[in-house]
Amino acid sequence: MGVNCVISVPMEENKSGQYVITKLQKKIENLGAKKAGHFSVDCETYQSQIPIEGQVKVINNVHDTEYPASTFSFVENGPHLVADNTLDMLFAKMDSFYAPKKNFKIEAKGVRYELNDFLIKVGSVIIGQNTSVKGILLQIDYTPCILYNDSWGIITELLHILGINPNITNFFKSRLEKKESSVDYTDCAQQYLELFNSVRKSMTVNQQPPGMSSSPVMIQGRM
Amino acid sequence: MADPAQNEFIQQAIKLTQSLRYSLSKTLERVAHPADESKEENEGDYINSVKEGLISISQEIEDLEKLATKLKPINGVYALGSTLAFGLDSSQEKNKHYQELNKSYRYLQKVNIHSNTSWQHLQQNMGQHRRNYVPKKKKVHQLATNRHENLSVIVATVQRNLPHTALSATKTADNFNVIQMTQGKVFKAAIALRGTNIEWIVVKASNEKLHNENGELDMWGQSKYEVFRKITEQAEIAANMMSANANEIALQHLLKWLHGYHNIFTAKCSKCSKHLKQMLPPVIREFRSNDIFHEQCRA
Ligand SMILES: [Zn+2]
Repeated sequence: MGVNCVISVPMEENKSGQYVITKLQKKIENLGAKKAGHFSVDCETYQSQIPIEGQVKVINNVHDTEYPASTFSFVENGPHLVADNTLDMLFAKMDSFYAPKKNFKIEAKGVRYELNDFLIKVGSVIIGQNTSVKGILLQIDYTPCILYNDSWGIITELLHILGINPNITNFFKSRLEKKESSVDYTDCAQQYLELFNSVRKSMTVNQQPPGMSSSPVMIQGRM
Repeated sequence: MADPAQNEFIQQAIKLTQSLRYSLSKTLERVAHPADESKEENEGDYINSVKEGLISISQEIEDLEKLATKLKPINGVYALGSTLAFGLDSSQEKNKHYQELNKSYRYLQKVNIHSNTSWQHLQQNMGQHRRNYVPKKKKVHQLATNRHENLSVIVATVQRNLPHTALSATKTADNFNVIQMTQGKVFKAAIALRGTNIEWIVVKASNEKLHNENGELDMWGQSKYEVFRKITEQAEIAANMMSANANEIALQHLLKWLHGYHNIFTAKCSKCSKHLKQMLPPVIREFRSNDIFHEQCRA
C-alpha cells in the first residue's frame, strides 16, 4: 500500500457526469493504463437515537472494495477504528441506539486501472436509491511510496498530465504539512468521507430556493 | 560476446543440462518408488537400475564439464545481459541468454543441494553394495575466505558518511555475507557477497520484505514495483562493472552510489526536468557524476 490521493473532479457545464467520466477514462487509457476490475467505496451514516452528552452523535461506516473484509468506522469529530465487517451486523442489532439515516447512503463506484506502479480509480458518486451522478471522484495511488511529501511531486505531475487541478482534501493537506508523514490504512477512507460530506453539503445547498442559501455558496463537488 | 561458436557451445551446454535434469529426476523417481507393483523384481534388479541411472548422470556431468572447458572465460567485465545495455539503449532481444543462464544457475544450485542429499542417503541405504560403485571424487565447493570482520569495517566507514541510512553486515546460513541498507521510508536493499565479490543484489520498496516467512533472506525475490525492479537492474549493472576489480574501495563506492536513490521519488531528471517519463521517475544515477536521468533521457 502506497500513498493514495482522492480528489473531486469538477463537472462540466451542460455536460452529463457520464460524459466527464468517459473523457477522463479515455485520457487514462491513452497513457497505457490497463483495466483491472471495478471498485466501490460506500458510506452508511448512523445517528444516535438518544442524545449523548446533550448531542446527537453521528457515526460514518465506510466500506472499500480494496479491503473487502473491513469496515472503517468514524465517529464524527471523534476517534475512528478499523474492524471486521461483522461490525455492520452489530450495528444492525443496535438500531434502537444508533439508526441509519434514511436515503443517506452514499457510494462512489467505477473502474480501476493499473498504470505501471500507479493504481487509478475513476468513480461516480450516487446517493440513496437515486442513480444520477452527483459528483466524480478520482483516486490515484502511487504504490511504491509511503511518504506523503515524497509522493506529492509525482502525483501532481500525473494529475497535470490528466488535466486535473490538484484540489486536495483538508486531510491530505494536513498530511503534507507534517514532515515524514507516512500512509496508514484508514487514510483512503478518511479522504472519501471528507469528499462524500462535501457532496452531501452541496446537494442540500442546491435544494434550497435561490437566494436562500447561506453564504458562502458551496461550489458543487468542491471542498 | 557475439562469437557464434561460443553461442553454439552455450546452447549445447543448456541442452546437456536439460538432459542431465531429466536423467536425475528419473533416477530420483526410481529411488523414491522402489516397489513397482506391476513387475516383481528382486532387490538386486532395483539396485542395478539405480546404479545405471547414477552412471548415466555421472557420464552426463562429465560431458558437461568437457563442454565447459570449451567455453572461453571472459576477461574483464563479465558481459552478461544488462551489462550489454550499459551506456546503450537497452533492448530485450539482446538479453535472452541472461534470463536462461539465470534459470540454469538457479537450477544447478538446486541440483547441487539435492544430489548431495541423495548421495548421503544412498551411502546409508546401499550399505554393502557400495564397493561396486566408485563415486567420482566429490568436488569441494571453493569458498572465498571469510572476510566478515573486514566487511563490518567497510560498513562502519560508509555508515559514518551516511548518518540517515541504516547499514548492517550479517551472515546467512549458507555462508553469504550480506549487507543490508535501509534508507528511511524510501527503500531497502540487500547485497550478498563472497569475500568482496557481489553475488547478488536487490532493491525493494520500504513496504516490502527482504526476508521470507522463515526469516531467511529471499535471494531470488524481486520487488513487485516496476521502479524498484529498474533500480535493481541498475544496481546489477553497477555490481558487474565493479566485479572487474572487486575491492573494499569499490564496495564503499557502490554503497554510496546506492544511497543516491534516497531521492528517487523527489528528484527530477536533469535533462527533461520532470518526475515522470513513461510513468517512471528517473531511475538512473550516473556512477561517477551521480547525475539523475530517466532511462530515455540519458545521452
Ligand atoms: Zn528525463
